[in-house]
Amino acid sequence: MDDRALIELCQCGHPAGFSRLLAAYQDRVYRTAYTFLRNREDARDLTQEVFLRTVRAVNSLDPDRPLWPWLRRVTTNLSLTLLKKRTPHLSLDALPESAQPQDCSAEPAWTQLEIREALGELPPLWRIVLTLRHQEELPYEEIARVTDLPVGTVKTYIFRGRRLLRERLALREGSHR
Amino acid sequence: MMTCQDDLVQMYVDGDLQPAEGDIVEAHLATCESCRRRAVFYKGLFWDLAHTERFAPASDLEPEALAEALRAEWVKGQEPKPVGAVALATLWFTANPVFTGTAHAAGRALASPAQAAGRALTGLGWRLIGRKGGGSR
Repeated sequence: MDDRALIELCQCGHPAGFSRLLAAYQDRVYRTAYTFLRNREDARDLTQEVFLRTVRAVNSLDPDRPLWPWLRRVTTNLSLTLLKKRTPHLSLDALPESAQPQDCSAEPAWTQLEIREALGELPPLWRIVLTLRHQEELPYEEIARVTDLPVGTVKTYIFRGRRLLRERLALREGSHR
Repeated sequence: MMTCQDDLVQMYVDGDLQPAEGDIVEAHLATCESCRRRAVFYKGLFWDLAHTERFAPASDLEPEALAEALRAEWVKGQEPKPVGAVALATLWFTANPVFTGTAHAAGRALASPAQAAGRALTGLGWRLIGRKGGGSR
């Protein structure tokens, strides 16, 4: 079922609309929320809230436009709100200093667990912009719009985040030898 | 001649450079072993970053229960909005027979003298016409 049919069914309040909306997007919203929040309970609660807000706004949704950008935006906004509430230092003024890049090993070789841990060590905002860049393949300007950050800041977070990941993974790799 | 620049290598691997800039980075990579390793590293990293959603543990959300909650939320959104005090008062006054009866009686009371006066004036008019007519005969 395409987005148009989904939106129109939900706008009519048809029970099948809500079931199919969840079948199509619940997992994607949950996984995106988990990537941002790194907490299963938070991701679950946030997923529910994303869909409740979607239903409240369903009459304003345009059936001719894809639904995922809307869901991604709500997911990102709610995640940022939650993170800012819980992490007062999630401001632009208190960025942790990125370490200088180091030369790393010849071939990239890390496990899923290692990259998951390395991602978890990044400041939440860096993780969010990196996810939007690589997973969602959004241009810098769109990431800036979704996160309400200046484009320059988005680029800084992305470049520093990647460099920090590279350094962390290189260190882990070095420790295996 | 380009020097080793991490940001440029990142942008090159991300496909974020203009063709001319890409040519410069490629020329540098051809001669710099360190940046070549860096580029290979970023390529692998970017692939993993594009698939981070697979790191999420399985969700224990129950779709049926959530679908019910969404349906209930939709129904709640369809309920009529609360009506304002003025609108409610107007509705109550216009629908209440005590007030509508009084209004009708008042209307009748006001209308009777006017009707009587109208009838008197009409009669007077006919009488005047009759006198005129009688005079011409």
